[in-house]
Amino acid sequence: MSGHVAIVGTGPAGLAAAIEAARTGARVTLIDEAPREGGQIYRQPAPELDLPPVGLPGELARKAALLAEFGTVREKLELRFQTTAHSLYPGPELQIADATASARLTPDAVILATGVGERAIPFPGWTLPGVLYAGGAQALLKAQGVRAGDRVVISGAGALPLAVGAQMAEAGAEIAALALLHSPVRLLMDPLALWAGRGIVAEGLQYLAKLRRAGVRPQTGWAAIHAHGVDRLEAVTLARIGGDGQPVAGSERHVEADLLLLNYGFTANSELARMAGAEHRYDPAMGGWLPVAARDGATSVAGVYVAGDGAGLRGALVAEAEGRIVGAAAAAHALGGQSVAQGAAEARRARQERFQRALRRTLDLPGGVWNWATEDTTICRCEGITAGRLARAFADGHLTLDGIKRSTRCGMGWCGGRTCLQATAALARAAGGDWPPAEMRARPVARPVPLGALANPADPA
Amino acid sequence: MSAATADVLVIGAGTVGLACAWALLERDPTLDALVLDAGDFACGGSGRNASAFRTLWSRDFNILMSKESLAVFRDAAAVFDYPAGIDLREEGYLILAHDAATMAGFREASATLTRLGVPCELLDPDQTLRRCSGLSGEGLTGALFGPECGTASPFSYLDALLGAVRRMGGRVEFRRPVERLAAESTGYRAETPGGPVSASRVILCTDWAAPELLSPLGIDLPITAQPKEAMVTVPGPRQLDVTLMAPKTGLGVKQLARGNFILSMTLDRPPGSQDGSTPTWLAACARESITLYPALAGLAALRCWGGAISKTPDMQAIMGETERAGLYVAVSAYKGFMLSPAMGRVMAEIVLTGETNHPARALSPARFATGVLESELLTI
Repeated sequence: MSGHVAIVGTGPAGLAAAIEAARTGARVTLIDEAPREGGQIYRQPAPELDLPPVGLPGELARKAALLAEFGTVREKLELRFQTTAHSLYPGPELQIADATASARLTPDAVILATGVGERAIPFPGWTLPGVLYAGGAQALLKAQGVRAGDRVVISGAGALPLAVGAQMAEAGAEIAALALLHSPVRLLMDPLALWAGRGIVAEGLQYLAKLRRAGVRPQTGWAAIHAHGVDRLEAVTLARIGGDGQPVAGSERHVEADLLLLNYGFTANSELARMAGAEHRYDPAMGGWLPVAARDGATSVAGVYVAGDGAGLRGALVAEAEGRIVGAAAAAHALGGQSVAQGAAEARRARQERFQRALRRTLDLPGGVWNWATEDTTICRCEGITAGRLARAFADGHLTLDGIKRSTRCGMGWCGGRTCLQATAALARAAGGDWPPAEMRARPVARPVPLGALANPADPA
Repeated sequence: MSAATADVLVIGAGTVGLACAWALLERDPTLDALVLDAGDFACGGSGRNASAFRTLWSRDFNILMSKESLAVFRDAAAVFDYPAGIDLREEGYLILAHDAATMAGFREASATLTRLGVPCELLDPDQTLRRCSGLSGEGLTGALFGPECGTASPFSYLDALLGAVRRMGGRVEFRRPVERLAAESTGYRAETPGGPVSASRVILCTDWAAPELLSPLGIDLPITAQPKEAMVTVPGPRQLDVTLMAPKTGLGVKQLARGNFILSMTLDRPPGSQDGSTPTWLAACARESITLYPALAGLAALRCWGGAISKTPDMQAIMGETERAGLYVAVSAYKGFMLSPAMGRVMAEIVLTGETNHPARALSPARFATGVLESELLTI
């Protein structure tokens, strides 16, 4: 054992894992597609931009502390930014590529800290220009200081819409409406969880206060169900949503807007783990298809570990704590030694997980939300597959995701199904398909890689 | 309710199995035909191939079957009552020679093709490069061009076949594997998780997996599996209007109407998983593809997939009745998608009348006992 650990992703989980693995004495290679560390949540602007920070003081302090701690081990690590970890095979063998060259790494352990992508609920007009994911708009603010619109409607579930609403308002946007599927009051159903997450709850209250100061009153039990516009978004229809997820007839309200931001939870970036053959399960509130992992992050494939939201949505605080636990365990595996106990991190993770379990109730999607799509509504954007086309496939007896994919091409495009397969599974379920949906294999490559780079092997360092 | 009896049981709902069921029902609409598949729709080789078809072959039976199949593909919307069609594009095939022996084979094949009325052209290196401007001329000795070749969507074709079979009264059940086949006093008994099925006649269309059910019956046919892998790139500007095949490397390159390239290549690897991906394949395929068609260097790989093809000692199909009466096999040897309409029709003829005049009668399973194999110059 050479004691080599490769870590994919530099969000809180990846950074914490790199810190602990380096401390344990492992040789660490850290890989990220972005030009700088931070991931989505701790995203950093390009240094030359000199942008004001986006976020609450508590959040920004956590970000600064982790980045500073990372700074103390940074020099010991092999850093590969603007590099894609595109394929993972048992071994483990991790293949990476940048724009011009590729390498096959054979570390003793791989930690996948690949995070999540956003999830939307399809409805008429949701693919119009001017309709974005809420987190995507937040990333534009954080990395480039770009405000994606002037008059904004935000619609979603969970906590992200509140944070993004407050940040957009602070950046000068007019928030025409902020619709939440469920009231945050759902959290009160578990007072102990509320106490465990009091720090995050306090931040949530600060975002609410900022929204109030901006004159924005979140409407709970409402959602955007129709986006209107010819070439781009011009207006949004909002409706009250019943407990079954169906819009309440007669409640519709028309709001003019040039930007509609959506977030109804997340899809875990679990492709690499699934590609390596890791056992996985389906949990829609935690991110869809998730690798099954032990508490130390070990998957069913020897040497392959997962940490953070990519292993199941639980937020940045859990990701950081879990990154430390998994970083130490993977380094111990790589060095052939005993893992150093991470008692403090274990306790932090357990406390935050309790809160996150309660918070996930605000991400429950009742079955009726999948009826917002009409026959002409696009479900798979890459291949242009509509709900009507899917309904025909269901009627022809194609009710498994593999059968649906092969008979319609739904999920076979650029994104590999990240955007549409959760919706497709939910639509198939309503037509009599299996629930939970079957395991979904992932095939190389997890992200597009230039053939020129694949054909040009660089010596792995 | 799972079916328990059938006049004809077809095992395998890929292109060959469904085409057999379709042709049987065309000939005899009263027939009680049942198709069982171990997996899901299009889960086997039929849903994993690189969507190519060609009429370029060196033997009468293959040339005639490919002509007949092309006629069905051209008319698929009407034949299968499938208005969306199967995305047939006859852009032509350019099979490339990188040595004199391959070129000599092309010359011989072209005579047979011409005799049977299949258009083809023998090209020297300059003509080849004029036909395909982006191609690398390095080491090229010439090519065989066939205009009546191209691509079609195997998914749409399978979907069309499936719908047609069901409308004709055929029953198709997915996720119902046949675990064992046993002879009964009259016919066969197939053990499945949904209960046994008794059928007087059985057609085995499980391609490389056929020996799994044949061996326990004492039937030993030389069918093996060869893993294949393929990838699709992101869309690029339309530039390649012909399918390139390079027998030297086993590489196939084509560009779809939507701009994506499909690259397929065989890589020798130990047998094992039939649908996995080999760690060395990506780089090898990228390197060979760029060597052959340099513009590919600027495009990105989007996704890879793997599958397996059936191999026979002469790389010809096996079609006909086995040594056990009433038990038939239809195994394509890497031609299932493109020859399936004709394979299905010939098999239906054999099953329902006991014989055929089609030259494909030479492809009977009995040929392996006689030791007389059939060659094919245009195997890639």
